[in-house]
Amino acid sequence: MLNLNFALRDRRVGVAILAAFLSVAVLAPLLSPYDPHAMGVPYLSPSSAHWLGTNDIGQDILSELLYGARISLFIGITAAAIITLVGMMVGIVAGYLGGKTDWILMAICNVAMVLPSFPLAIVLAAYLGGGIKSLMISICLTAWSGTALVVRASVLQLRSAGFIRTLEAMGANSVRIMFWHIVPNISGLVLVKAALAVCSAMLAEAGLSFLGLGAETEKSWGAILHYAFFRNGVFNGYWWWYLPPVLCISLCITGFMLLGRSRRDSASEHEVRS
Amino acid sequence: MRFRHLALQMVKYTFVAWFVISLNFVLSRLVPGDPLIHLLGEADYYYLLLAEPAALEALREKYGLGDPLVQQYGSYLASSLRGDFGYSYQFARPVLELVLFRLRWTLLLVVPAVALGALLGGYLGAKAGWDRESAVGRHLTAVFILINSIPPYGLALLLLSLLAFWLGVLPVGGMQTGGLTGWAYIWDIGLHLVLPLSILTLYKTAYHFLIMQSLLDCIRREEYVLTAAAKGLSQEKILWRHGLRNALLPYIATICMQFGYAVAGALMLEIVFSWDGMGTLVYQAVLSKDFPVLQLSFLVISFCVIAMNLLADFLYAVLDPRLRGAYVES
Amino acid sequence: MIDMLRFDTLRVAFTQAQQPALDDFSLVIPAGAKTMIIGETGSGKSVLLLALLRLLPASASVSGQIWFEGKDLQSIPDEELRRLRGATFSYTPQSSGSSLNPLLTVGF
Repeated sequence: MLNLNFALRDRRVGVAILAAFLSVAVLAPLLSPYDPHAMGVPYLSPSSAHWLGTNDIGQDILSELLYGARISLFIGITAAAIITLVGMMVGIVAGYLGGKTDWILMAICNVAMVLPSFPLAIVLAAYLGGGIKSLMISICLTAWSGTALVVRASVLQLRSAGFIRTLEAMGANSVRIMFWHIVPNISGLVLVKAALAVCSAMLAEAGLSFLGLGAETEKSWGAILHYAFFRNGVFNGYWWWYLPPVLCISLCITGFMLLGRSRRDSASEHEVRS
Repeated sequence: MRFRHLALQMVKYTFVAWFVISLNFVLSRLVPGDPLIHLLGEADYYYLLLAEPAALEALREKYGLGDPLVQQYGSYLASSLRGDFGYSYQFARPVLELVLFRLRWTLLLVVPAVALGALLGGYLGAKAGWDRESAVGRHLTAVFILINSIPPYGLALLLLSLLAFWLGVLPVGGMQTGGLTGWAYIWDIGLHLVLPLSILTLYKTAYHFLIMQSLLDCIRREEYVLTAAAKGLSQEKILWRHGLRNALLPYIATICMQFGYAVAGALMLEIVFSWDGMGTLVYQAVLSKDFPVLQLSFLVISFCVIAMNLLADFLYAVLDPRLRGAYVES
Repeated sequence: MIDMLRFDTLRVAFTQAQQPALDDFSLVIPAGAKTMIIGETGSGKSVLLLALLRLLPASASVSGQIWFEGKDLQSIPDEELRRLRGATFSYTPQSSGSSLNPLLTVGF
């Protein structure tokens, strides 16, 4: 009973955090004092004119941060949506159809799980030249396998439940069963996995952007960190440059992690990897 | 019987290795642009273009870029099996040698971090997972989950600026101060190792804590635990004799299988601390579009991951009595 | 005849269930006698045993008393009860498959 209360409270906190970040992202043009691309005097400390100072080419860091929310959240959420959808479909098809289809899909899934995802992402992003599209591809390429495995296990359990056999006996076709009946039954699981997928997608994107593989002009939080570090923000002590992006990334990911708290929860369901 | 499962896993890993090599081939030949750039890396290509264009053409011949793709693939596979992954003009040594040299330094970071994290995280996680009511356990869980949401290089940046820059307690970066020998050299490397190792260990501890906690949380609900309690065993004895014993194999196997993520984390930390392992190598390669180095790094890391996965499978085959005489469906 | 074991208005309820597993259960088990408790599946036999051993899950709430040799088993310290378990009273699980540690070998 206690568990339920914790989970609900955690979810509510998560929603609150994310609502704040999403509104900032949407309202960025209204909230930010400057155009984030407008250049000016570089390396300024925080002042009343620039609350978070300026970066190496004189762009206002606060504005960068606000607009950065858009990129980070956009890539994170979109990538997670793709990962979850693909993973769910693969899991359902493999689990329900079984046989050769299952075997082939699971073979692909197993290979995807063994491949080290972050090094692969780096290689891909380097070849594809960086930018939002290549980031998406790199992040999504192997991440769907986790969701697929979990969904498949769930579907296998459902299969042994009576109602699927009843539906089959009544002549319902496979597609109908898969989408009208199986999907609603695994929706709770899938939503939790989706929230966690955003966490890993955001971490992956931040990592790739930190390496300089992100979009050139549209800076995500990870990209801001990239410049903060590689343009000597750290070694000059400009904490207003590197501390806010780290805080934003961490807070946002915590929000999504809290969102993914489910009732029968154990801590290891919340492992998040970059 | 149990080795049949192991053999199947080996087939799977061989396939993965082949897949990585082939993926590298596909990327270098089929991405738009002169394939020679992808084979030599931009720095070397443009250097040769200006300094020795004849050498460039000779290389074009050597890689057989005029030949049909299938033939190119064949010779690529052959040279991979020979260990010939190209030559780096930038660093003036074979790419394989370069990558393996850097790998050593990365492993110096990763292996102790994983080992320490496994011990510390395992111990704390065992205590926390077994006694569900403990407040310490719940607080630790919250702390470690929070830590997992901070990107490792982010935390590294913060600690680097705090401890090295502001307080001056630890070196700011690099692996060594240079010019030292003997014990002074080892001590110097140790000092430079402290920050990156501590941060990586922290993350590994967090991860292993959550794993062990979850494992024991499952195990303590098992019926044989109830039997043991009914026999009058103390909670301590039950934890050691039944809980940890049953958790040990899956725990070690998970550690092995997560090795890939440990390496990925180490790569990013190396970049922040200028530690001359594979992380900085990869970053430089990304900057200078040194594709051969990137590809081989990816391949080498994949091999490490495969080796660790194989180790996990092997441990299961040998140590899990349930698998004796039974064919396990993968 | 001495009372060896006495259950006194024992009530065991689980938070998820609508009805208590045991309600107002009283029983005296005399010394020197063999007592057999028979019931249908779900009648609460295992719950009774687990309550005696104080090994019920955390979701169970217990009220009432269980007297053994003049002591209320529900209120004696953990360490004292642990010494009684196995040595003085215990239970034999129904199936060996799940009630013994699968990793340990028996006999050979």
